[in-house]
Amino acid sequence: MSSLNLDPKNTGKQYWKSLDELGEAPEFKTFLEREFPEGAAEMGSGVSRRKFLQVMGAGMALAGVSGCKIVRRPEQNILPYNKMPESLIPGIPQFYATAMSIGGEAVGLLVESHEGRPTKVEGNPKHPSSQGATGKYHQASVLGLYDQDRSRTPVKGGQSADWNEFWSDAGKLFETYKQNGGQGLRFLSGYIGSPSLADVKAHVLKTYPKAQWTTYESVTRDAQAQGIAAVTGAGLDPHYKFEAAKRVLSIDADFTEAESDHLKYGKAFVSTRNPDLGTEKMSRLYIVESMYTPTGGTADHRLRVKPGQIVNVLILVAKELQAQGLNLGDWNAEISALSADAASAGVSAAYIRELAKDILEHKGASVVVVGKYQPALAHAIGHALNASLGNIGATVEYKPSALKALNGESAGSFESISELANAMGAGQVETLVILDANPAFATPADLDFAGKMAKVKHVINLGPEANETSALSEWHLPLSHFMEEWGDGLAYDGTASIAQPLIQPLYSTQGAAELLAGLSGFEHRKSHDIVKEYWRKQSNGMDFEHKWRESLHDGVIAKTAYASVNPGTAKDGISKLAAAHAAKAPKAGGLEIIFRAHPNLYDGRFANNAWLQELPDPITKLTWDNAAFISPKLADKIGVSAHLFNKDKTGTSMGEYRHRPMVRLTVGGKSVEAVAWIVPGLSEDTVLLHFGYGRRSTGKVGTGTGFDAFAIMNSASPFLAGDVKIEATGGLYEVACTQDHWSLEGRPIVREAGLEGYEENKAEAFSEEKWNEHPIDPVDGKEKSLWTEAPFDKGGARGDYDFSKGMQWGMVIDLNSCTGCNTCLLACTAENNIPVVGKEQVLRGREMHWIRLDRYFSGNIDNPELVFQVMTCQQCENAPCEEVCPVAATVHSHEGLNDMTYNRCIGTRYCSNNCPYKVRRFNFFNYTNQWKNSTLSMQKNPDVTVRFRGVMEKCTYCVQRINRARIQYKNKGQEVIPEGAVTPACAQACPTDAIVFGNINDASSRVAKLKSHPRNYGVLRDLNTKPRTSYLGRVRNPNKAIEKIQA
Amino acid sequence: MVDRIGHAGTLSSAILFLFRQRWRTAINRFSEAMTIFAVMCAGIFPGIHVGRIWVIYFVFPIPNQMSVWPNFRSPLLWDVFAVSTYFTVSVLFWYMGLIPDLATFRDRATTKVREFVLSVFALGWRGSARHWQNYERAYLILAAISTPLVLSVHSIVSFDFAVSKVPGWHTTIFPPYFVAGAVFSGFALVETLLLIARQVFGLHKVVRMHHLDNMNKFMLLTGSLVGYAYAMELFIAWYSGNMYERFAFYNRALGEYWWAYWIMVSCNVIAPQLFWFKKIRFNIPIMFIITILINIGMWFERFVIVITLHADFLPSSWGYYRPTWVDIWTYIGTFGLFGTFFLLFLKYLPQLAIAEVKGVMPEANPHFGDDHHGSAVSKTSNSKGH
Repeated sequence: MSSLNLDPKNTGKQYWKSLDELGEAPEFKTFLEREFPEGAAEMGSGVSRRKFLQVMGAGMALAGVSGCKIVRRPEQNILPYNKMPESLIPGIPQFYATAMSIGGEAVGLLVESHEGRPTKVEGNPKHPSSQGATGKYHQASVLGLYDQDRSRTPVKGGQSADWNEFWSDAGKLFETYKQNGGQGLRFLSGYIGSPSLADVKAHVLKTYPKAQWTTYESVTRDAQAQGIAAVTGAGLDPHYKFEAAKRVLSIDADFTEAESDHLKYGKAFVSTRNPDLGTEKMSRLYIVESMYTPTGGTADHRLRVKPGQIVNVLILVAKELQAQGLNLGDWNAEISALSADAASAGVSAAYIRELAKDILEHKGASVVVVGKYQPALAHAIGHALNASLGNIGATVEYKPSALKALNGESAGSFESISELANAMGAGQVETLVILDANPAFATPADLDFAGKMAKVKHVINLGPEANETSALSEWHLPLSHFMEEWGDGLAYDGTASIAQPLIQPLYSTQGAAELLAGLSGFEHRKSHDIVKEYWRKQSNGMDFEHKWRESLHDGVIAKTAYASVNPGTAKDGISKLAAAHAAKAPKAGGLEIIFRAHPNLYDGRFANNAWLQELPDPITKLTWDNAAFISPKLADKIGVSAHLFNKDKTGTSMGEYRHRPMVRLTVGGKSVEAVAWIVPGLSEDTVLLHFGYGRRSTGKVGTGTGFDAFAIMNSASPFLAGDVKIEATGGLYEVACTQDHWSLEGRPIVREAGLEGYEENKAEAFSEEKWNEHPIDPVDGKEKSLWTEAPFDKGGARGDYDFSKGMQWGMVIDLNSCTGCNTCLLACTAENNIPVVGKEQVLRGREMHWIRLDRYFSGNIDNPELVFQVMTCQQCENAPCEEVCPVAATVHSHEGLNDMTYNRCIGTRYCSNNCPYKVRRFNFFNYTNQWKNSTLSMQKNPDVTVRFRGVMEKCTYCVQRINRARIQYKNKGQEVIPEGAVTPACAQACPTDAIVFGNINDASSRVAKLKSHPRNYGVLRDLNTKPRTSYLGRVRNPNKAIEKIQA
Repeated sequence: MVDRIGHAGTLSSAILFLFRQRWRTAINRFSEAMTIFAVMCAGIFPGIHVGRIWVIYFVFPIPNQMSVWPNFRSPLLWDVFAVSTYFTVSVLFWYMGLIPDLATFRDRATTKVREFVLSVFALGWRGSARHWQNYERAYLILAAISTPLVLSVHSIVSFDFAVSKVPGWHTTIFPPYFVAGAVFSGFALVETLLLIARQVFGLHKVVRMHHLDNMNKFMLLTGSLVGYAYAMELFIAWYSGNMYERFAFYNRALGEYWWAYWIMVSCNVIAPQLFWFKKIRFNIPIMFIITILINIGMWFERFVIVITLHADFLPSSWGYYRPTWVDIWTYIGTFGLFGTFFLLFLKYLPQLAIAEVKGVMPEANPHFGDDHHGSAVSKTSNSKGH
């Protein structure tokens, strides 16, 4: 994939050249300068994002009324290459390997670059954490690069400055620290995942021996580290091998979505979810959680438990296992000493008995996974169980912690930041250097970090954007994006990657390592040199250049993964943790609140990323806001359910109200107001509020969206608090949700079966006869019809196309594999130039996503089951959209694609009315104007038409990728594109390979085989639409004994 | 949606003409004018509604260098042909009927400009017997052409719904149901406008109570037909056993838009039932209120049909529509447009078919106090010409 030239003289920089030249071109410079005055946002601070969208919308509407006078073809200057970079062919994208770190864990990526512009991120198949897949943050990172609100220059006290000024200021300041050893000098950073940065950090601390370094991350892995350390005596990380696990017990672990290495775990877990493995081999997932997570949606048994009681359920399981004869060895006595009460945990003893029995029957093939928000005690017990069940080495292995190797021993994130806040409050901090962190926002309110920053004389803040912290800093320094800067990173298993840049810094930015190097030695080393020199040292000089270039090309440094180690055994760990936990745990019975990182915005760092803002929350489908999630019963209790859902009719929808009630949440004397939102399946007497929203100061996209959970978080027990008060304020708030309706209404859209039922009669389980009333003709297997289909070869309804000949594209989506993670949606957005429409438009149902994840609840509304369904254009052979378009703007191709001809479309929207799947999207406004004359336009994929106001659009099966492959193979003289040569963006990004695409006429292709699988069915097939996209029915593997108990 | 409501004016006028219903003379000019203005309003809607109005000519089969034709399978294209044909014929029918009256106006014009313009449009009408013969024949032919067109236009408009796959739209009852609805609402709107004009311009002697009574009876009939259609829709949805159909109608009556459905039923089905009582048929204030209710009801009928879209096949895509201020003002704007045209018509053109009214006056009877066998109509209309 990479076109990297392996010439040793060439330093691997040649791909910048185009941008060097582009960057120096006067047009480009004036374009940047004129459109964005340095240090200033595009619009005045008095203009909100909503206002901006309104003004833009109104402007567009007026422009539309004025009709044909719109300038439809903007003038653009094309700048030819003065010197053509080698290996670059205009129009042919290049791929470069790099890596992105979040929370100190790197995932290897391949970034697509068009003539020097990074446009799209793919996973690096060679990287162990990616294996070709990506997560949503990776997909959205390319938009972060072109974010218009990024800081462009250093800012001193609110005034734009330049780096020379900073260095002369810093030179004076740090000269004194050099002399006094760094007295009063503090550094604050998030988890460092980069070995070279850790090396520079060590150098800094050597230069200023009295300086102190605080590592703080609100999404912490402390509990896991402490729990494992307490029972093994070593700083180890668990690595689960789900591919070998037949029984999985997840204790609040959203391991396919939010835990460390979740991309890898998701893939491994899903490999055991194929029902054709049979009852012996198909895995069974038990999950204990309070709020539904995507992993919870894939579970066979979900135990809904109040957050404070989750650890007690684990204790009950441990004790039950013990009672059933499991020898816990050294921990036997400690587990016996623990106490937990099934009744107050809200679970039945019989349930726990059957669960334990099932796990015990699968010794050595089971695994207990504990989530990162659970207390250390849970992690310790989890390890004890895994060790006693003989799972270590089989389904769990332990490796040294990369995070610990790079960040050193830590008392814990929240403990560290409290210590720093206290020191700041006591006036002991003179200078605080903040590296890519936003403590003024992302710290619990009890610390009053922002208030205490006033007591620090000098605050130097290096960050990507002007934010809450930079506003309180003396110096705000702009940080380079990872695609602009050399770096490196360690994967969760220790595999090192070099993160090479794709583009020269767009603005006057620097990397963290560059800044630190400058501050420590006053030498202005470039990140490239820092990274390369670090790895040169590691390689002992053995043919380094070759190895370096190989690593750059592959995206991983070979043989750097940690070897697994045998965990030791430490005594008294569990009892100590139990004592500590008992002191903190909330009392049973009261109302509890949990705080979790927002699934899209993380800890708030992605708040200005419009793709992530408009990405629906996986469970609730909210966009542009978070909400206080409450159960239907709690809504009743506090008297807001009347405004929250339709109970009069079916009780299965959020109802027609556009304005939702506000509630005030009070914890420990601090309170915050947030909008309430009902979530089926959330444990009763529980409130969940995601942190990351409620940014007070970021770019124009994220400022003022949502509600700030940090305002009521407490650093002593950050993720769980008891004794919370919730009351309706009487206020109302508009919430933009993309899916109000919960229920499937008994429609055969998502088809599910139990494993046993499926095994008994595979042909029957998902058949049309069973699920649809429409009779099937036994002769041809098609729906019986009064209408005789026109023969293909006689210029029938579809012209001369014969779908039995040539390449015919089709797709199969496996509902057993899909975890509802939303990555496909973002991949599609990036690949297909899909605009963001803003909250106002989402409120009107005008979101533009070509692919969506339908979420349905079934069963009891308090404790339902959950299923996701990827829904996108089904490329019907008998497309209802095609027959109603008056101008033939949507027509069929000879390869079975339902094509949109944008130039022909006049925008009647009749096609959308007639689409049973409602997957067509209409450009109500000229959304593309957001990109005009902006850096955002650099992200656009040149292979995909940018759509104008007034036209319909929809999924194309990534026809641009099909055509690229066609050209490639035609050049080789091959008419047929072989299997695997075309992968649509969604399928490529999918972490669990749930989407399979290919030529259905090629009998050997994966897609053709799946199409004849008994689980294969078409949604709304009885309408005779003949969809090309079909689904593999969902098969759950429930425990019969537990089902009996529940019944 | 006022546009669809008023479409039936030509129908009533033409059919009544063909059936020699002499009382039609009281309403035909009104109803034809109303139809034309309503179709003009309707014609504007596709323009407002489509995404790219500047290429709307793509819907016409114009030969072009790309050899791209419109899609003849699309009901929307049939709609283009049906509405444009209907509009053309309606205008011709209306204009043809206007000619003798325009000549009368021309003869009485007070300004040179008005005389010139009217004489152009009066096509040199002098009221000779030959003119009258040609005129009557042409008028009859146009009436005969308009009548099936009226049926076809409403059938084809209903195809926009009926041919689609959307549950609640995909029903064979739509064509007759739309025609009945069109006649129903056409009479209601004509009567609303007529009652005002009758009061304002003092047309009590021309628009007689038995004319209004006839119209009320028509509304009673067609309103009952529409009510039958509503009932059949519900029955067939249940009888079909199709879960999507069943839900669509269940949802119509009891779902989030239940209020719209019940406004529609009470205005369209229940309100006209009052016309069973003669006292009500002859009570102007009450009949005015009922016609207004019917107008509202018919608007809601279209709303109820269109809003079916808010919940079709996949529950994931169900939503709740709320009009934006653009939607509301666009709708109000069509009232303005219609009102403007209509008032201009009242001011500058004969509100009633003068020639025809004369023809049905007692004085027009050849034996009415005069043994001379001649046409009273031609005499009066030629009074100045000779």
